[in-house]
Amino acid sequence: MTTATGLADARLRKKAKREGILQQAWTRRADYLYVLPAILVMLVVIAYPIYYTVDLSFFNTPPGLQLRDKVFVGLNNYVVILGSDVVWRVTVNTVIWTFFSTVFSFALGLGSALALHRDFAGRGVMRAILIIPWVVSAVAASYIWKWIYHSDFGVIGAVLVGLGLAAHPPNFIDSVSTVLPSLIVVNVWREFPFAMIMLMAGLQTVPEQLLRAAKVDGASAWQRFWHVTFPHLRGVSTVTILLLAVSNFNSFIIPWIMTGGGPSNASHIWITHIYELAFGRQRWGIASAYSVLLFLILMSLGYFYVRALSSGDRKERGA
Amino acid sequence: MAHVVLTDLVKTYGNFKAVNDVTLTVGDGEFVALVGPSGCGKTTTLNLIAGLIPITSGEIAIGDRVVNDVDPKDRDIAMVFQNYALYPQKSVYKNLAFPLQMRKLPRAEIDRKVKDAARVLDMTHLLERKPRELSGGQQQRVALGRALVRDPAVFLMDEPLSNLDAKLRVQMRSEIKRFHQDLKATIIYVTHDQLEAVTMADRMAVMKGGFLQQYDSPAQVFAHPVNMFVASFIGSPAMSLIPVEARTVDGRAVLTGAEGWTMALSPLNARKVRNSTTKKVVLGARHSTIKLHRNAMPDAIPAKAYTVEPTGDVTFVQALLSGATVNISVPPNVVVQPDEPIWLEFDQERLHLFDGETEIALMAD
Amino acid sequence: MTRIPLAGTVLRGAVSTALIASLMSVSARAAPPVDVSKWSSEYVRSIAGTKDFDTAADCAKVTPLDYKGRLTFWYQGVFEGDPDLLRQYYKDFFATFRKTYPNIQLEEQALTYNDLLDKFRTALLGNAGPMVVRLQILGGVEFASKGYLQELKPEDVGYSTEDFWPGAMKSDTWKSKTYGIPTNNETMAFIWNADVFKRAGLDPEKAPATWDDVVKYSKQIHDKLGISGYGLVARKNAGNTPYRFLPQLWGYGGGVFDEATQHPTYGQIELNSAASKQALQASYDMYVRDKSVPVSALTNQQADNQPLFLAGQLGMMISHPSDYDVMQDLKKKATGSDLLKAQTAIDNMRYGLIPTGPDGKRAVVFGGSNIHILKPEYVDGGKVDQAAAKALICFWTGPEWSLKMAYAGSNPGNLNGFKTKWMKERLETTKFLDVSTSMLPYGVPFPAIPETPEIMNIVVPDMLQNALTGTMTVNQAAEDAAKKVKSIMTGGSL
Repeated sequence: MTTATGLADARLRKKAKREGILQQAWTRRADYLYVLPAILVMLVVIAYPIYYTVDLSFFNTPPGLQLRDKVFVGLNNYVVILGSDVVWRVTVNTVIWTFFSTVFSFALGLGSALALHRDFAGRGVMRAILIIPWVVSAVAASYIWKWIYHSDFGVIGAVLVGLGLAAHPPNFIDSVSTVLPSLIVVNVWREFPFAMIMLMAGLQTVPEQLLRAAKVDGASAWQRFWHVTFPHLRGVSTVTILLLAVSNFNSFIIPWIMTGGGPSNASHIWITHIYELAFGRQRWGIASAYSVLLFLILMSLGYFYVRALSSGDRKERGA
Repeated sequence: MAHVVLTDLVKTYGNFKAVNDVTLTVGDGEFVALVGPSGCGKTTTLNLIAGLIPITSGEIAIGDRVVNDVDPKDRDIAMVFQNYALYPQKSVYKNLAFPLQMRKLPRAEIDRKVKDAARVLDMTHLLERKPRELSGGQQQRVALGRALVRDPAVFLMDEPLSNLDAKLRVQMRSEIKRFHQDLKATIIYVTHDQLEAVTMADRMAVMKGGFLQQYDSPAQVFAHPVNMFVASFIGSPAMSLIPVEARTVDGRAVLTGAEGWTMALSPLNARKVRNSTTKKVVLGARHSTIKLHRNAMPDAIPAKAYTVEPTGDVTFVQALLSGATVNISVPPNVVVQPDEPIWLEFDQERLHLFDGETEIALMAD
Repeated sequence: MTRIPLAGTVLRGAVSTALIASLMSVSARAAPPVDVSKWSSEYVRSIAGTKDFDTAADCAKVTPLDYKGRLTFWYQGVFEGDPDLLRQYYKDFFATFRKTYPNIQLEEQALTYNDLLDKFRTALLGNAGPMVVRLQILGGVEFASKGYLQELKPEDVGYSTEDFWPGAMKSDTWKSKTYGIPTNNETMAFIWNADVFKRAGLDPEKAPATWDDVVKYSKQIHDKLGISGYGLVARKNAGNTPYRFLPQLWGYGGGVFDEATQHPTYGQIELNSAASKQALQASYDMYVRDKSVPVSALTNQQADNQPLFLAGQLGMMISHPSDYDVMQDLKKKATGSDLLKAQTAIDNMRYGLIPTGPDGKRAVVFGGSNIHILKPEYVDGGKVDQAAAKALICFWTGPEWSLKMAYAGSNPGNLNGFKTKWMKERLETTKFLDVSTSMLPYGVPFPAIPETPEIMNIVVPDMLQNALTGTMTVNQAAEDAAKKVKSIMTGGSL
C-alpha cells in the first residue's frame, strides 16, 4: 500500500543506494591507490599500444611511403580481411589448432593428475619428469621436434624404416594434410603439464566423505570419478580450459619456428599470419586490423574467464 | 531389517590398535549408539561394519551372512554422514535416486521409491532443489532419505547431527527417533554426544581407547556404570567423583575425606567397599542425589559453595571436596552464595563406589 | 691445385654479348677500369696484381686523416654459413680503420640478415637510425623509395660510377637518382659431387648443361643411389629461396617482370608466362614426379643442404664459392666414419656455371651489398657526421677493402679490386673463385622496386609451395602468384 510515508521510504532507499556506490568508492579510495601503480603501467604498456593499433587499423601502409604518410582507408582493411579466402583458411586452422590442443592437453593433464593422485613408489620422480615439457624452452623444443619430425632424416622416420615398418620416412610437417596435427602433438606435449598441475590441486580438495558415500551407494571407481570427482573439479576445469584456450590462440613459437606457417599456409594460425603480414610483408594497417579482430575474440574469452573466477563470489552474495 | 553381530573385531594401523576385540550384537530393529570421546574407535568400528575399511581380524555378520569380504555396496547397508555428503550438483531427486541408479533399477521403480522416501521425510516439495538451496536440517533429511530409498538391512549413521546448531539438533533428534520407530529400522548410530545416545538409543555401547567399556540400555548405564569412565561420561552435568578412604571406625565402615570428615556407609555399601583392592576408594554421586543443607546435619559433610549456576529450571551449586568438584542441584528458589558454608547429604541407595586403583565399580557379592 | 673444369670451354663460346651489353647499359660515358667484354678467368688472372692502391692516401683526399668525429654504423655481420676466414677480415677492417682515423669514434653494430631489416625498420620509425648502414642488395630500394636515404654516388667518396658493375648501380638507383654505393657483389655457381656423379653413371667432371639436364641428373642419382639429387629449397620468408629459383626462372626465359631484359621497366608481369610455367614445372617434376629432391625442401634453407652435401646425401646444389670453406669448417666437427664421408665429399666438390634454359639462356641473381647514408632527421641524435661517413664508405668501397671484405664468398664491388695484389693472392688460394667470378656477367639484379622483398620472400616461395604440395596445379600456382604480384603492385589487399 503506497502511503505518504511509504513513498518517502522508497525515495530514501533509492537515494541511499545511489550514494551507496559513490560512498563505497570514497570509503574504498585506499584500495584504488594500491592498484594505481599497476594501472599506470598497464596504461602505458597495454592501453596505449592498443589505442595505436586500433588507429593504425584504419590506414594502409604502401611500401613506397614512410609510415607517417600512411593512407586513410576507413574500414576497408576489415572488409578485406573478412572477405579473404586466405583468412578463412587460417581461421579454420586456428579453430582446429585451439580446439584440439585444448581438449587433448586437458584430457592428458586430467589423466596424469588422476594417475599421480594415488601414492606409489617413484611418484615424485614421475611428477618431475612429466613437468619437463612445460619447463623446457619453447624455442629449443620446437627445433628439436622439427628434427624429430624431419621428412628425410628425422628420428621417427629412421626408427620406422629401420624396423621395417615403413618404406620411407613418414611426412609430418612437409605435407599440407599432416602438418597441423603434427604441430598439435607438439603443442599438447608442451602444455599438458599445466593442466596436470591445476587439476592435481583440484583433486586434493575432493571431499573424502562424498567418495565414501558414493562407494556405499554402489558406485564403481569410474562412476565415483564421474559423479563425484569430475563435478567437483568443474571450477578448476573451467579456469584451466579457458587459460589453455587463450594460450593456444596466441601460441606463436611452435608453428612459427617449426614451419613458418607453411607449407602453403597449412599451418598458419591467426597470430603467425598477423606476424607475417606485419613483419614479413610490412602491411602494418592490415595486420593492425587483423589484430583488433583477434583482440575482440580473446576479450570475450577473457570475459568468461573472469566470470568463472568470480562465480564463487557471486554465489556467496546470493546472486 | 536385520541384526548385526560383531565378534572379536580388531583393527590395527601399524602398531596402533584402533579397535580392540569388540564384540556386540545389535538386534533386528534395534537402535544402538556407539558413543565415546574422540579417538575411541567408534567411527572406525562403523566404517568396518560398512566395509569402507578392511578388518584386521574378527567377524562381522549382517543378517545371517558373514560380510567380512563383501563390498560395501553388497552389504545391504546405508550410511548417513556427518557432512551429509550430498552430491552438490544433483537435485534432491537425483540425490535420492542415485543409489538406485547404481543398482540399475528400472526408472519407474526408482521414481516410486524416491517419491515414497520424500513423502516419509516430508520433502516432496524440495525434490527439485539443489543441496546448496536447502537448510542444514533439510540437507540432513535428504541424507536420511538417500539411505532410506535403499531399503537397507541396517542404517549406519556417523555423527549425523554434529553439524547442526543446538536447537536444530534437538528437533532432528526426535525426528530420527520417530524415523526409527516408524520403520522399525536397525540403526547403528555413532556420536560423541552422550545426551544424543542416551535419548535416542535402545542400547548404547560406550567406547574408550578402542575398547568396549559397557554395552547396555541407557537407563542401566546411567544407573549402574561399570567403571569411572562410563560414570563420568554419561550424564550431564557429570557425576561428581570424590576420592576418599575406606576405614573401619568403631566397628562401622565409613568413608573419610581429606578434610577430616567421616561418612557412615549402609551395610550394602559396606559390603561393596570390602571388595576393593585398596583403601583408596572413589565416591560417585549424581547431582540430583545430593541434598544440600544450610546447617549441620548428622552424616552430612561440611563444604563451602564454590560457584553457583542458576539455569532457570534448576540451580547448580559447585562445591570443592577433597580436590574434586561436587555438583549439587537445588530448586531455583534456593539461593546460595559463593563461599557460603553448606552441608552435603549423600543418598546411600543411589551413591556409587569405585575401586581407587582399578576404577571399576565396586559390587557386593 | 686450382682446377678450371669448364671456364675455358664454356666461356669462350657461350658468353652472350647481349648479356654483357645489358650490364653496361646505364652509362657508356667513361670506360670502366676493366674490360667487361673480355671477361674470362684468363682475363681476370691477367689483370690481377697489376695495380697498387693506398687506401689511406685515397681516402685522406675525401676526409683528412686527423678528422675528429663520431659515426654510428650498422651492417650485416658474419653469421651461420660463413667461413672463419671472413670473420678475421671483418676484424681487420675495423682495426685498420680505427688506426687510420684515430679521432673518429666509430660505433658499429653487426646484425643478422633478418634482424638487421627488422631493427633498421623499427629504428627508422622512431627516428633513431644509424648514420650509415650496409644492406643486402635487395634491401636498399625500400628505404630509398620511402625517402630515408641521402643521395650518394661513388663520386662523393672519390671514386667513379664506372668503377662499379652497372647492374649493381641499377640496384642503387631510384627514380634516376643514386642512393648508395656497392660494397661487394657476388653470383652463385652450380656445385656438384663428382663421386656421386660417377657412381650414378654420369660424367663426374661435367655439370648439367641445361635445367632439363638437372631434372634428369637428379632423377638418375635418386634412382641409382637412393639419395637426393638436387638440393631444392622452397622455404618461405628466407632469402635463399628466390636466389636459387630465379636463375631457373630466368633460364627458361621467364621472370617476375622484365627484370632480365636490357632495359627493364617492371611494368608487365611475366610470372604466369609459358616460360615461367615451364620453370615451375621443372621444380614440380623433381619434387613430385621424380621425388628426387629432399621432402624437407619445403622447410629447407641452404644451411640445411650443407650438412647433407657433406655427408654425401646430396648430389647437386647452387651456392656461393664460400660454401667450400663452410664445408671445411663443418668437417672439423665430424668424427669417425662421418669424417671419412666428409673428406670424400670435399675432395669431390666441383663448381661449374649455372645451367642454361632450353634456349641457352644463362642467368644468376646478382647478389651483394650496398652502403647508404641516412638523412639526418631519421638518425638518432638528428645529425649525420658527413665527413666521418664518407671516410668509412671510402674505406669499405675502395679496391683494397671491398676485395678483402668479400674475400671468401663474394667479389669486390669496386672493379679496381680485381687489379690488386690481393686478388692475385686470392686466385691462387681460393678454390673455385674463378668459376664464380666468371658468372658475374650473367648476373641479373632483382627488380629495384620497394615491393621486391615481399614478392621474392613471400610470393615466389608461396608459388613453389603451392605447386609442390599439390594444393594447386603448376598452372594455377603461377596464375595465382601473378595475381598476387599484380595486387601488390596496385597497393592491394591480402
